Amino acid sequence: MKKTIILLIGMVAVTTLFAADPYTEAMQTGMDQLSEAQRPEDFLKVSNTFARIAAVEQDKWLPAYYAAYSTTVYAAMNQDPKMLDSYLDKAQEYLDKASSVEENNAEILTLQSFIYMMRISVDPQSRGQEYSGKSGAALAKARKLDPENPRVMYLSAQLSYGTAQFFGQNPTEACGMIDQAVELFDSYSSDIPFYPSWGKKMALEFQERCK
Amino acid sequence: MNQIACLLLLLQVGLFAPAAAQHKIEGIITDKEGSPVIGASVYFYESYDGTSTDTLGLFSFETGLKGEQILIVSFMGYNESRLPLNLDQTPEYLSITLREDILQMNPVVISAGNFDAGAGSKGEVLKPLDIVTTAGATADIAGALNTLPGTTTVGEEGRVFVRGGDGEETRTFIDGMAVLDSYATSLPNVATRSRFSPMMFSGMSFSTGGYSAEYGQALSSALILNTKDVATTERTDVSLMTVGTDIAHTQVWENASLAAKVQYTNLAPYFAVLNQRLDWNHSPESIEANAAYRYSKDDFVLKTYLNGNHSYMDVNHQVIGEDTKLPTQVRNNYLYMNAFVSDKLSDKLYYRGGVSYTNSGTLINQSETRIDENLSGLHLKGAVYYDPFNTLTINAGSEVFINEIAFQRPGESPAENLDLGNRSVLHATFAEGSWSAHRNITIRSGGRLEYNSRIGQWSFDPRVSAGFRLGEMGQVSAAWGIFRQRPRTEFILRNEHIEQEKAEHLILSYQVTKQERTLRVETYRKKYSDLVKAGPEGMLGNTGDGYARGIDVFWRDPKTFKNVDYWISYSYLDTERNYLDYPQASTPSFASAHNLSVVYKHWFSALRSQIGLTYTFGSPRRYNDPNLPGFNSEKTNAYHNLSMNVSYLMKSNVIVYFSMTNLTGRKNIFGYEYADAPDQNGVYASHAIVPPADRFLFLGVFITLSKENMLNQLPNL
Repeated sequence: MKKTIILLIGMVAVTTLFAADPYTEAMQTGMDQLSEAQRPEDFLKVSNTFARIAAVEQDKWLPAYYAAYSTTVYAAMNQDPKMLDSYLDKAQEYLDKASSVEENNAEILTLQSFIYMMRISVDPQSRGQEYSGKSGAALAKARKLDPENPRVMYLSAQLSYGTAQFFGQNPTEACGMIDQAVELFDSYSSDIPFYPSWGKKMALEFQERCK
Repeated sequence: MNQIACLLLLLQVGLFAPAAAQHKIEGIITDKEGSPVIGASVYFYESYDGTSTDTLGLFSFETGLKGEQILIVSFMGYNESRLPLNLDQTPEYLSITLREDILQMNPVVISAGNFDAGAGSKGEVLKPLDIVTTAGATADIAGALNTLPGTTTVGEEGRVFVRGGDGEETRTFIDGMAVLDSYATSLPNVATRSRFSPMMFSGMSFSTGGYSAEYGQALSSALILNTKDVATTERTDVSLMTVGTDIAHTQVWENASLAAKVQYTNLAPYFAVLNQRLDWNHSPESIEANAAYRYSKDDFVLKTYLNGNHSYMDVNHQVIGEDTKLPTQVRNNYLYMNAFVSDKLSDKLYYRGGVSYTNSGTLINQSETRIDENLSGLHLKGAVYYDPFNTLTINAGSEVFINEIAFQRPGESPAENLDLGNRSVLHATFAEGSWSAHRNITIRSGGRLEYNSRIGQWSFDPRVSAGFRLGEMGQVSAAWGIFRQRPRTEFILRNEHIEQEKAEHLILSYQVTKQERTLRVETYRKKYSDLVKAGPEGMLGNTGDGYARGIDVFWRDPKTFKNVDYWISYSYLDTERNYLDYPQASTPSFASAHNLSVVYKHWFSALRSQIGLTYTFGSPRRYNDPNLPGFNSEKTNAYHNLSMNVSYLMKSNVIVYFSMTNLTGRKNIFGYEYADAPDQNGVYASHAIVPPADRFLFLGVFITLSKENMLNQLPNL
C-alpha cells in the first residue's frame, strides 16, 4: 500500500513536470512556429501567437519581446517602405510592453537598437542623426548590462562595419568584433527558459563577408 | 489510505483530462471590400486560445472556454473588433468584417498652403537638414524658405516675403509659442538672418496661407518650428568659421538632456580681407548664448529654451546726395525664453501649455541723435487635443499676448524729448475640429475669437480647409480663412485708433507624390482690407486695401538621378495695394511677378562630399522715382544669383564646409533710394540699393566629439 502511494506521488510529480503549464506550452508552440517561419505571413502569425500570450501573462517580458521580435522581422521582410513605419510602430508597442515588465534588460535594449536602425532606412537623410544616436545609446546600455551578450556584439559589429565602409577604411575593428560575437554565440547561455537565441546565422554570414 | 490514493489518482486524472467539451471556432475575416484579411489575430480575451487567419482570411481553432466570452479580432491598420460569444452553445460559423483604422493608415493631411518638414510628418516635402545644405541659404532658415514657391526674393531684406505680403506678415512660433523680432538686428537695406539655428529643430511647418486657427497675429504666413526632443547622446561640437566660432555641449541624463551653445561672431577679419561697400568703424560683432533643457517621461514632455544675444556695429552712413557721412552705432540686446509642457491625460485627451517671453532693446546713435527702442512680449497658452471618437480630433485653447513697446529720443531741449510707449493685451480663444470623414477625406474647420484691449474690440476669424485624396492620382486640398495682425510698431506708437489689419485667403492646391517625386501646384487669392493708410493731414486710418493672386509650382525629385536631389520652385504673383502713403493702388516695391529657384544637391561618394548649387531668379521690381510723374512706375533689372556650397566629410567627426554666393559676380540692384527733399536744382538725389558686397564667402570646420566614436554626423550628409 505504502509503495502504491509513493509510486502514485511519484507519478503525480513526474506528470506534473511533463505536462507543462499552459504558459510553457503556449510559449513552446510559439517557439516552434518561429523556428519554422519562413514567409512574411509566417512571422505575422508568430507575432500574433506571442501577443496572445503577452496579453495573458502581464508579468512576463518574453512573450511581448518575441511579439516585438517577429513583428520586426516581418517589417524587415516587407517590401513596401511606406508601411515599414507602421509595422515598426507595432513592434515598438510590443517592446514597450516588454520593457514595462523589465526595464533594464540587455535583450530588450538590443532589439530596441535594432528597431531604431531599421527606422533609419525609411529616410536616412533626415533620420540618420537622431536614430543612429538612439540606436547607439540603447546598444551601449545593453553592453553595460550584459557585456558577453552575442547579439549586442553582433549589432555593434554591424554598426562599426557600416561606418568603416562609408569612410573607405579597413573594417578590421568590425571584423574583430564579429569573430568575438560568433564565439560568444557558442559560449553564451542563459537559465531562463525560452531566452532569445537569434542572430547566429546572420553573424556567420557577416563573418563570411569579412573573409 | 485508499482514500488518499483515490484522491491522488483523481488529481492525476484531472491533470491529464482534456478540458471537458471543446468547441471549434471557425470563420472568415474580410475587409469592407470583401477581400480576405491575411494574418489577423483571432483570440478570446485574456486566454491563450486563438489563431491567425490564413491566406484566404479563414481561421479555425479549438477552445475549452465556457460561458460568455469575448472574441477579439485584430490586425495592424484596422480597428479591433470585439464579439461576445456564448460558448455554452455550439458557435456558428463566423463572418467578421474589419474596418480600416483611418488614423492608423495615413489619414489625409491637408496640404493647402502648407510645407511640412520633419521626421514623421506625412505631407513633408522639405527637411530641416535641407536648409543647412541648400546653397545660397548659408544655413539660414529664411534663406532656405526663400527657395520655396510662394516667396519673393527681396535681397536687401533677407526676410521671408510671402504671396504679396511684406516681411512683417510672416510670424515665427517655436513649440507653438510666439517669437518677436525673430531676425537679427541689421542696418537698413542690409539683409538680415533668422536668429535661430535650423539644427535646433526637429521639424518645421512653413505655411504660405490658410493655416490653423491656433495661429493668430499673422497676415500672410506662419513659420512653426518644433524643437528637438530629449537628446540621447552626449557630445561636444566645436565650429571654426570665417565669421566667428562656437562651442556646444549636450549633456544627457535619464529622461532628460541639456544642450548649451556659446557663439562669438566678428566680421572684422572677413571684412579686412574682402572689400565691402559699407564704411565700417566697427564691423558687426555679437555674442550669443543658447540653452535647451528637455525632460520626458512616459507621455509627459517639458521643453525649455533660451536665446540671448548682444550685438554691436558702427558704420559711417552715407547721406544720399551729400558728401557727409554720419557715424552710426547700433547696439541690440535680445532675450527669448520659452517653456512648453504636454501630457496625456487619457487616451482621448492631451493637454499642452506654454509661456514665452521676448525682450529686444535697440539703441541707435547717429551723430547727435540717440534713439532707444524697446519691445517686449509675453505669450501664454493652454490647449488640448481631444478625440471624442476615432475620426475626430478637436484642438482648442486659449492664449494671451501682452506686448509692450517703448520709444525714446531725447531732443535738444526737454520739450523736444520724444517718449512714446504702448502696452496692449490680446486675448484669444481658438477651437478647431479635424474630421476624417472617410479614409480619403479630411475636413478641418474652426475659428479664432480675439479681444484686443488696445482698441477695445472683439473679432472672429473663421477658417475652413479640406483635403481629398484621389488615390494614386494625388490629392486636392482647399483652404479659406480670415487672418488678422496688429499694425506695425511705429503706427501703434502713435496711439491713434487704428484697428488690426485683415486678410482673406482662398487657396486651391493639388499635390501628387509618386516614387518620392513630388509635384505641387497651388493657386490662391488673397484680399487685404483695413490696411493702415495715411489719410488727410497725416492721420492714420484703416482705409487701405489690396489683393494678391498667383500660381505656385513646386517639383522635387530625389530619385531619378543617382545621388542627386533637386527641386524647382516657380511663383507667379500679381499684387497691388493701396496703403501707407501710396497715392493710388500700385504693386509694392517688394513684389516681383516671377520668381524661380532651382536647388541642386549632388553627393559624390568617392569624394565624401556634397556639392550644392542654387539658382535664383526674380523678375524686375518696382520703385518710385520722385523726379518722374506717376507713382512706383520705374522698374529695376531682374535679379539673378547662382550660389554654390561644398560639404566635405574629412573624418567621421570633422566636416569642412565652404559656400559662395553669386558665382557669376552679377551686379544686382534691388532698387533706388531718394533724398527726402530736392536739391537746389530741384532734383531728388538718389543712390542704388545694392548688397554690401557682390559675393559672400564662408568657410567653416565643424568638429563633433562624442564618447561613442561610432556616432558621428555621417547620416547628415
